[in-house]
Amino acid sequence: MTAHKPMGDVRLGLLVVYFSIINLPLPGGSSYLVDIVVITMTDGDYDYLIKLLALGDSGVGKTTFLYRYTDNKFNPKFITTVGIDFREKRVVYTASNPNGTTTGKTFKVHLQLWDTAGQERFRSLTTAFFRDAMGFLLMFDLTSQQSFLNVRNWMSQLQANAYCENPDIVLVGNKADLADQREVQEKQAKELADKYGIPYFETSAATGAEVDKAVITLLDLVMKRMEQCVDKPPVEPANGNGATKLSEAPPNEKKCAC
Amino acid sequence: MLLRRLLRMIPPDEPLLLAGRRIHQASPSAGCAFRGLTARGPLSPQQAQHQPLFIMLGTTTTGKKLDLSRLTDEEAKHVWDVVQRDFDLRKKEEDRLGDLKTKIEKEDTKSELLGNQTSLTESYCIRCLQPFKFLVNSRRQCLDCHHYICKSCSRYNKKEQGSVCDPCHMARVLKIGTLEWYHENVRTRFKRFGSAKVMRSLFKRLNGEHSGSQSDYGADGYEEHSMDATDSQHYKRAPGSHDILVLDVDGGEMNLAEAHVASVFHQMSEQQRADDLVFSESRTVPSRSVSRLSHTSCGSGSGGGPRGSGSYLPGPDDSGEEEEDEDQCRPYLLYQSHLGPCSHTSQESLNSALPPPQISDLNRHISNIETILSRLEQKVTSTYDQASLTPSSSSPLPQWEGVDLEEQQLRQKLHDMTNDISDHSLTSDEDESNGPHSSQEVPAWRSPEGDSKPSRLPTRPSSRTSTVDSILEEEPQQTDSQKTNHMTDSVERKWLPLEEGSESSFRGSTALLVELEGQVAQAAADVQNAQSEVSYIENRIAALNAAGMPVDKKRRSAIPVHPRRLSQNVPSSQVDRFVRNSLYRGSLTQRNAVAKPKTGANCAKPVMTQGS
Repeated sequence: MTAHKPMGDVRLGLLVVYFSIINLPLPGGSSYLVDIVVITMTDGDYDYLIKLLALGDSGVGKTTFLYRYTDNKFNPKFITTVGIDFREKRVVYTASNPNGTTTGKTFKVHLQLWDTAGQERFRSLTTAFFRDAMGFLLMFDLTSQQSFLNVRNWMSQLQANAYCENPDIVLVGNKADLADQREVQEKQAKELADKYGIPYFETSAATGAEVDKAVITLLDLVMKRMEQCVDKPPVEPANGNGATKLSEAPPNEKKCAC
Repeated sequence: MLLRRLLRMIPPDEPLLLAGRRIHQASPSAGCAFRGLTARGPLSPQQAQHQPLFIMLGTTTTGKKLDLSRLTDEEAKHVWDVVQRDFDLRKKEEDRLGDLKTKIEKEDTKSELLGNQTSLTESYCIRCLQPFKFLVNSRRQCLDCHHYICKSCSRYNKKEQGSVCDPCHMARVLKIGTLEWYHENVRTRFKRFGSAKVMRSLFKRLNGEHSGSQSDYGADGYEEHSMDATDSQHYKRAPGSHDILVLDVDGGEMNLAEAHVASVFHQMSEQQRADDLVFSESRTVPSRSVSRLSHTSCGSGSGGGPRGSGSYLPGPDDSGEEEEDEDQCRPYLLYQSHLGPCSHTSQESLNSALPPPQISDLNRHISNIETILSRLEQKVTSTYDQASLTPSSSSPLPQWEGVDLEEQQLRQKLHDMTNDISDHSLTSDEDESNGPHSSQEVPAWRSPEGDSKPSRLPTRPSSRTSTVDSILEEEPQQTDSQKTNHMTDSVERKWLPLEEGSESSFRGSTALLVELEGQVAQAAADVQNAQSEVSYIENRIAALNAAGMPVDKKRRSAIPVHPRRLSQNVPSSQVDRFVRNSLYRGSLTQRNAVAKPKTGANCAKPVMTQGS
């Protein structure tokens, strides 16, 4: 991807419509989404606007990951993200029951995918955008142990700056295609993810493997939480999803630091 | 620069309103940080790729401070664009939800109208008005609105084991779609959403650039100063309007941009009751403002002024509005800065440059007045006690005869003094003309009594009339027509010149105005003090007159008591006086007035004092 295209997003005016039918490998009927992408940025014909955000160390592949997801393309060139960016994608979400059967209810979901800079010097800027997202793709580089070690720090950043202390998160180990350079073993990562109680995926923006699944899983988590939060009185909506509750760093009481 | 150019393109087409009281919690220091614009190039990929652990740990604590000062212009522009896009998207979303709401409301109205007629709702679907028929079109009750509806107008919800009519379903979707729960969360944790926060910071950055660029102009940047000052004024004024931020000032690019954003805010908040956009917080006040100040001062080192200096700002007043710490931060700093060590914007230097000279000038004048007063007293006493000793050698008016002359002179001076306790042009004028002489004479015939009196005079607050003097300096061209103004009038009049002066030099700098106003008030009080003192002296003189002077002399002396006479009567020292006069002529005109009535009255009082 040409990482940051200069301001005026031309697509907005063009009404480009194209379909990318994603052949989702649905393992054991656990995923319930048919992903038909219709990018019509100008119309407001969708049911929900869902905002997700990718975060992680610099160079783990956040931008290419999102580029792969939205445009199904891969740009091997590393172009550091300047602070913040976002991409959009329209998907159709098919709600499902816990037992795996679809209810037939479908929603058009407009995804806003925030892409953040991993560089330290943009940190205060990017963390400011954490609150603008409902779900998070916490990414690390499977070929970089350090990026994996930093996951816990990103977790605490999320706790401090997201809309709540236990937001929906998906752990993503990217660059799975570079098997020979791999530094982080799947077992390690899985353990960490289990510790946090979040799903874990090993993806490759280069090949596209698991990219969509990771995003859709996250979307599913968010949608689930949405429904839960609507169904019950919105007293403590944040705690609705106990599964994703972060086990580390128990929620501190600073609701609003002002 | 890029940013500014960009901002200029934004049309100020919408009302400049920001609804909601906005409090910024996290990054009060960002404002000052903004002024130091460092342009750092992006790190190389290798550098950036793997960050050491400790860096991240360090930032976890400070994560809430938004510091965009390290962005280059281009980076800031990029961020700006992204944020702009986000605002567009949000706007679209608001529109969409607004449409949905409208639809639902319509449906609600309809069902409200029809719902009262039981017979109708029992047998007809309230949504489509089709009659219910057994088996063919069986009726069911909506879980939400409890109206009877037909199958086609509802959908069955397995989980709830019931039907929900379409409008109610839509309402549910809307309820989910507005993400109330999410926004509720964000609200409780933060004051505004991220884009808004960043947007605000970018504004500050812009402001920072603005003021920063002025220092380049040097002395020529005067115009810019005033403009910037106006900006800060509008920031300051905004707080006063509490819930609504009105950006009404002259259109710098910043204002346009801010206007645009403000309008976005406004529109969005209108539709969503400012829900998720501008988090209105009723949290107030003094404590916050204090903390804000302190934050400000301890904020990142690029521009923090001493916090104490903020005290003269109308703090309690605008703390209520809590207009973004960040917003306030900058103006505050500017105002504070002239006390602070780090005045690197020209604004600051302006501030620091102006007041001090005035004050020193004022002090000079005050001391002048005081010396004159003491001299007068000395003269009076000497006249009384030793009339024969009158100004012999170096007296300013050698050609006048004896006590009469001396007395007349004194009277004249006193008259002037009373008139112009605050009018230093006259007094200083007098001072100049008499100064050299009296300084010579005084040692010669100074009496112990005379010594003691002057000592009392200097104890008067030196600050008094200081403002007056500054006014005078600012308005050197006052016409003589104003001579007749009453004393109190003149005090009030000071406001006018003051405002004019401040406008011209640092137009709109509210804080300065406030400060000056305080000074004026002080000065007014002081002037009255001085006035009473002068009248006291006058009384004494009058007492002297009554006691020792023949009536005819008195009358004679009374006649010339007129400002103009002075110049005629005192031809000597013409040169000296002229210089002084030209300098302060303006002030002279201002407050002459009071004197006349006073002299008369004072003359009456007298003897008692004398006796004592």
